[in-house]
Amino acid sequence: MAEDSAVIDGHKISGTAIAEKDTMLAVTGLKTYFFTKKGVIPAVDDVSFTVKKGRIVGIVGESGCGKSMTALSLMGLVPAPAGKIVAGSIVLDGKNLVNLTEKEMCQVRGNEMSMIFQEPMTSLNPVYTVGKQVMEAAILHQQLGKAEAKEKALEMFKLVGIPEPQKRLDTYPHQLSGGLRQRVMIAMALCCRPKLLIADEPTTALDVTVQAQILQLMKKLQAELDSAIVLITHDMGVVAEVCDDVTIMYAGKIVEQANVFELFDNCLHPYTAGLLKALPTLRKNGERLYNIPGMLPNLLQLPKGCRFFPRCESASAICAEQEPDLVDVGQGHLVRCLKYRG
Amino acid sequence: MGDILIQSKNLKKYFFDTGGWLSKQKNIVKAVDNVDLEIVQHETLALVGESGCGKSTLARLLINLLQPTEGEVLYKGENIFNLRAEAAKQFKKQVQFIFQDPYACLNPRMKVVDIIGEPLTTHQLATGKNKEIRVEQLMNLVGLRQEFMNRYPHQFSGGQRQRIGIARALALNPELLICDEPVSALDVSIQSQILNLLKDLQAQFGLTYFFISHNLSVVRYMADRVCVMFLGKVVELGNCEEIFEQPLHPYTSFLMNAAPVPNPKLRNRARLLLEGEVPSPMNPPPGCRFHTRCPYVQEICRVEEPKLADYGGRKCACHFSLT
Repeated sequence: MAEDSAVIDGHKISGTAIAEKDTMLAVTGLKTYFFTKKGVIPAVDDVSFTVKKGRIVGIVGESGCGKSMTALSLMGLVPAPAGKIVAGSIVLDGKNLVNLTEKEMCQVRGNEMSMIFQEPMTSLNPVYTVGKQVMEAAILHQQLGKAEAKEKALEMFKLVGIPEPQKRLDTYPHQLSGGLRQRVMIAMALCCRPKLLIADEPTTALDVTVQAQILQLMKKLQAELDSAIVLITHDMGVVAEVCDDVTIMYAGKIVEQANVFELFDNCLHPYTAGLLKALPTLRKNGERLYNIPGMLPNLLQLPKGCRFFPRCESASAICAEQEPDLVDVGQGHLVRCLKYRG
Repeated sequence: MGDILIQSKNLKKYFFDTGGWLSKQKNIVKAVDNVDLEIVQHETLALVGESGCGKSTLARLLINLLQPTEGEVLYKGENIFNLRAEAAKQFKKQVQFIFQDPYACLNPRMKVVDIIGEPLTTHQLATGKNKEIRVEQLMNLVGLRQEFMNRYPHQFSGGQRQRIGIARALALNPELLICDEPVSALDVSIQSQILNLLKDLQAQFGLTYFFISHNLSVVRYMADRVCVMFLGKVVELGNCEEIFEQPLHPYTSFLMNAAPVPNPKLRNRARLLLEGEVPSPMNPPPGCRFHTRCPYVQEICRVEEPKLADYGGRKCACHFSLT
């Protein structure tokens, strides 16, 4: 265990070494646990990453790997009372969010950092016009008057490419298509020019053509506003299209972290390799698809050694005994696998 | 090509929106408009298109879950909408459905043995011990442990539930399986397991698949032929490999351009993306339905509706196909 924390510290040092003034978000040793009747569930277990200004960081994993919980932890929205951030720090532009009170957090949320959710229909209020919902953030955080806020909302609608923005201000969510709703969500999220935008599966519910539009829009806005984005997704294709850095999570832990080009060229962890191989590509080869045998472990009864060991094809006896640390194999490429102990 | 298993002729399904009893306005949603489609025995025909293009309506018409406004569906030469009681029952046995959401399509109060065995009970094919034996067989077939027979759906993961759904669909030894987005709710690693399973089952039982999906990589992996729909119309139909290599219809090539490629080095590739969204199927534009979004639009496209024409075995409905 001592060795583990040393490496976390090592990672922290390497994290702060890169962390110069352009680091927007630094998450260090984040642990979000759920305390249930059946036991403690380590949904997010010792997760560290940094997001620099003007970068898009992807957090990738399958359902249940803790990627959405990481996002909710950042926003201070972990479902209480069962869930709790038990350790770690979340530093947004020099301010540690973990210690903030709920009232202080409300000032940060939607203002300095905001979030886009997967299903735009369920996150928009059906009984208010979309214009009003976008205005709300501006009125609340920027103390704008109604008329100014409306002006602002109109400007945001133009920015995110909503056709006929003036007319759309007065429509209700159900009158808009999925793609337009997601644009409204983005307009709302960016209304206060947040330092950090968290997008949780923003395109999963959309058609490919609309998905491509939304991804392009996010890239364009990010370049214009120079904000930092955390993109949560399960789609390696989306990652390859927009992300700069990637963090792969498995069963609550980071298993690999690297620059996107490095990751696709030279992925080291067997899980990442499996994810990439399992994708049917547009190039047909007629062969059977690779699949990762087995399924995600129960977080209540985690295997003793490596969490991926029961599904790993290159596992050896030691993997069942010893939990691997996250080690740096060079140029900030981190991997959690005993094969790369150094 | 082999024998035609099922075939639609001038199939139309319109939905009428009267706008309430006081309203004078009348809107027609042409969900499926004049679709001619053939599914050949033992093949996988994939249907792709954006949401709202009529994919699911077409699937429901093909298995007589919806009555068409016009046209017919011939299953082995017989119109499925006028089948007599006994023949209708036979038809229902031979055509089965695999649903998109493995969480919604299984009754949470039923045990797995009853879910998989339900078609057997409905068609009075097996009861008691015989039913259990058949269910055991089916569970082995789809890779589920037979000890799980007395469990309830909530005790299974998404992938396992989808296997239960597949086992249920196979219970009556069907010939045609309609798969409506069978893997879109699953994780990538699970998705590949299910796709492999579907391929194995097809090889083993000579099944015919009508495979609906919006994921083009999945379609390319699974399909022999591909049918592309836009706003209730078939715009392109042909061999999977050929369509992916060289799409004829501009819409098809846009769909393919839009798919994300899992290779970051290609992220800045030159590609044309579609502007705007799918126009409403309610009162679709005159002429070619795609003309409002098409960059190659000409005067004729706004006026005259292109017919599905033959291009050496492939079909495409465009005045200026991309060849």
